[in-house]
Amino acid sequence: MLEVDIKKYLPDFCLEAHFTIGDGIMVLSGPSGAGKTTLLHCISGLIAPDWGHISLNGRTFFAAGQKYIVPARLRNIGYVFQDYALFPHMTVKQNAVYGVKGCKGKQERYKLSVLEVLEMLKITHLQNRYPDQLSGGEKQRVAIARALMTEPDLLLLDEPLSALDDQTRAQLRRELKELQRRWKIPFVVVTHSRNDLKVLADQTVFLVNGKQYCQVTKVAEQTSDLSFALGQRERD
Amino acid sequence: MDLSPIVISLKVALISTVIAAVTGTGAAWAMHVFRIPGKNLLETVIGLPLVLPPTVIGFGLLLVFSRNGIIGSFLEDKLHFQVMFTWWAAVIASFVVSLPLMYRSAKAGFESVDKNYERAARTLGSSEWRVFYTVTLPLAWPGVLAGVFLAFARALGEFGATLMLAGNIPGQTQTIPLAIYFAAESGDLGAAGYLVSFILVVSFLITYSLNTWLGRINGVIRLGRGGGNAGSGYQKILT
Repeated sequence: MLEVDIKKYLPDFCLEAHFTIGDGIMVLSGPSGAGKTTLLHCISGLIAPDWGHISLNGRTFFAAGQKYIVPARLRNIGYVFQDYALFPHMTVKQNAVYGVKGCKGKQERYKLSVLEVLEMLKITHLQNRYPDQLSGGEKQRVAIARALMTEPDLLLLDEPLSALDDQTRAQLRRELKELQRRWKIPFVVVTHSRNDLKVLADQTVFLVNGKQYCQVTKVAEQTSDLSFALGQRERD
Repeated sequence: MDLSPIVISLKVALISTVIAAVTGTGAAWAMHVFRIPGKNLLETVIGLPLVLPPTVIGFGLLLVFSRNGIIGSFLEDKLHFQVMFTWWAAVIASFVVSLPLMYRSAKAGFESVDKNYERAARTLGSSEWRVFYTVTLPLAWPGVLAGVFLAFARALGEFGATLMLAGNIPGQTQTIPLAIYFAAESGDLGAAGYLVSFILVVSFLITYSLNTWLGRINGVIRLGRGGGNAGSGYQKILT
């Protein structure tokens, strides 16, 4: 369960957000420059809000008036960046294990093997390639694999589908939804697209100029509803 | 032919470059990652030797390292070591003038690395130190290495501050630039000439290899491999 209630003063406006999500996908939508990426940065711990509190599964990461802020590296939150941010000097496999290796004492904790995760995202055959030898869709899969390898309690995805062609987009959208159902951790997905919203969202938050416009919750869809929604999209 | 100026110069330049490389890269990293109060002031102090006349730097170092200076008196009292007019004084002078080149080049290199790589490393559980040596440094190393070359070339050519702090003692503190000056002064054009050609060849080789090597790196990056905007540190220093 992720609880967010924060304010962050930005040069042009004040970002205000207040929402709670349990299991499921929350779609964060709104026009460009509305503060969506800033909100993700606040949740992940890359920047600190000015007011409010953030907690995940009962663990407080940030609370106004409290001096200690849990740094990003200790939050155990996966983050898939808009430009993927795959390390260009490492192979796909090295990228994928980056979050597991070198973090002392954590290694035994992980139950998943790299191959399982690569297999799940269908990128096993790419493991020795460098990021510049991958297509956009492949990069996206690697970025998701890298984030999931650390077995996060929450996954943030910043416009994960925006740079992909329509076909790859539809496929990856479907896989994202399945992935969330399998991992059973909350996903926060930033998107502009109505189609993405329709298919992915269990819950929606709209941001306009930093103000939270509304929060819409709908009952988690069953797989049949999902295929119905997909079928409808194809007819559109 | 007296080879001692060449030996002394290489020894002094190598040691001062190693010290400048470690401190310059460390300082650039600290400034890059942490919020440090008085950052601008600190950067100005580090960069000052680039614009100050070498004699002014020499005078300042004289005040600090002489028998009555802060560090000079400490060394004398505690270690019974008189640093003035030894080749260590030449190392200090070379270090001070080459540090800003190293610092700026490393910092430009770090800034050329896309911030999202470092952010991604943090969300994947890395400490700032691990972010540095697994992500920032491997992507910024062309800038850092360019800084090392520039610092070495600058250290090799240091004259004014060295003369004031280390003096001109043949066989002990007389580096190549000092030997050239005093040979030319006394009319020994042959001795001056061979040292001049040595410096010319070394400087040419350093600059030439740096240019071809950075050109190759940038070529590789145009093809897509490798990271960031390699070589930009070097270019920013030169333009």
